[in-house]
Amino acid sequence: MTELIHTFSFVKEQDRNRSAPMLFLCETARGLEQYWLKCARQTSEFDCLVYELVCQRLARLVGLLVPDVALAVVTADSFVPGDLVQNWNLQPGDVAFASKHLSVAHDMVDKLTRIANETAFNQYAEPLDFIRIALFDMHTDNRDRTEENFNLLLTKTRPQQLCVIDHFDCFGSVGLLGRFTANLPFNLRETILRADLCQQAIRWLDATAIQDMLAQYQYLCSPAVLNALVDEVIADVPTTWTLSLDLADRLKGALTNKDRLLEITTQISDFITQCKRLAA
Amino acid sequence: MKNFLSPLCIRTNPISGERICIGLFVAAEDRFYFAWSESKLRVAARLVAEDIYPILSKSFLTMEQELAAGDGNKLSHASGYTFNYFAYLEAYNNGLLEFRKPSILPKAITSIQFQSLYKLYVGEALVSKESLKKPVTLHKKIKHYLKAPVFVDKTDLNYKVSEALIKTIYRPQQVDFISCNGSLLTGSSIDFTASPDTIKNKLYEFRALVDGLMDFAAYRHLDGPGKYIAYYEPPQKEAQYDMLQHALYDQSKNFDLQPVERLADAASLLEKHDYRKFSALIDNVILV
Repeated sequence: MTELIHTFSFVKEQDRNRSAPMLFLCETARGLEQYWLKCARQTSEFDCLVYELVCQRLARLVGLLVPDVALAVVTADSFVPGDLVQNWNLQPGDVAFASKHLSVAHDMVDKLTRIANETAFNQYAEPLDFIRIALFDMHTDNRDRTEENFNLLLTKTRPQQLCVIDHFDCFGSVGLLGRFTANLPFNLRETILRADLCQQAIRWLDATAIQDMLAQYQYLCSPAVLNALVDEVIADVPTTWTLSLDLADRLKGALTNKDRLLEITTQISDFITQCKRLAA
Repeated sequence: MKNFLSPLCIRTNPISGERICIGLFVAAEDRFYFAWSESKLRVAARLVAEDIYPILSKSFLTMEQELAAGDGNKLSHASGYTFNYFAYLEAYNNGLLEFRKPSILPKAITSIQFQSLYKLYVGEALVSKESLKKPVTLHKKIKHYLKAPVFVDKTDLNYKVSEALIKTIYRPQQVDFISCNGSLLTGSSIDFTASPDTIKNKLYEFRALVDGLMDFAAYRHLDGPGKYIAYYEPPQKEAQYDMLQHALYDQSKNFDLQPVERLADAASLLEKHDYRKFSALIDNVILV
């Protein structure tokens, strides 16, 4: 069951980001907490909010760190409409997707982030996450995480942990809203694997451990589990969200396409082997 | 009247725009809340490299007092604290102190919620000014009692007992007061808030001193039962509390262990009897 929270006070809007998340203080069962809210600025974008919910659960399932999420009811007088640029049509009573703001010890990964040496590599709690994230992104057709825009948070405390955020543009993004199929195309070039940061990590990653991780991912993504995951998300979706036709079935189809997932893992495996050979 | 909050910041560098959030103001339906961080103001003062602390802290205290008048209820004299005025302040912020853009709130808040908001904005727990007041130390309490004329006239205060006089000690040992008539009366404080090792050493030291003083009293034919008292205050910490209990129940010890308030008993004893200073007694002692 997705937690239901209420907005309390508007903090800021990231109006340059395509999904224009808004930082709000929200009332939760635990007190006041900070959440990033995303709303559908067009009716068709409700699907994208569902992608966020599905991907958060899938990320957790395969062992990736991801912020807690909730559904936030927008309270009257928790914001001044004039403060919102991209979300100008936000109304009291709207229900938004909300992702918990992580502590200040997290920082965005960018092109300047480096792994200087093996000691720095060993500071990562789970360095296999670099590969796992690429696999997850190809699986969910997330093309919004690239070496230009990592959409990753990295803790600045030891051990360092990667945290995946922003899954608004998965499953073909806005271009395929309402019409993506089980055979979504995938492209390894559109993942973070070619980024310098990942190339540095691959140098020290154990090849056998990578193969084990790829096999484990496939094992965890059994059709029964993924179908149940999608059903749980759809059951939580507010009645005010207008979803495209057969969204649940299409999500299930794309996520449980075994041949597609096998082909993705094979491509990643080949790529890693190639990288290792070049590094040697 | 709108409910709103406005964080209070110090702009430590106008060129880079660096600022530190040091406080929070909230206007709720029926009252105002305002709190600021003394420690963060001190950090900001160091970064500004000018001694801004005294003036700013005084301003904030004044503001606190003004807002707290009438238990924080909104008063006519505090009517300037409006949403529009804070929006105005934010628009024309150009100096050291900045009230940030006010954010409206959907409802009035409780003091618990204010504490939560303060933690979120300022980044540290809200500590009440009352709890910051330093507790009165044992040393100060003792000092207060020993100011009484009866102690000044009839005892040696903060007296260093010489190791040349008392054979069981190896260097001069100070007691808070010492006096005599037909017997010795001495008192010394033991701070049970110190570390267990320090307390242990103080207890052993006092015990050794009392052993020596008893020998000395016998040698000087001071045959009355002497009073040798260590004064304490109950500690909060468990380890120290356990040590105190252990010492209290120790039947073998050669001194009394009494709470500091019992110094009043020593004062009345001194008043009732013909005590004189210990130093007067030893003036004629031939050191062996």
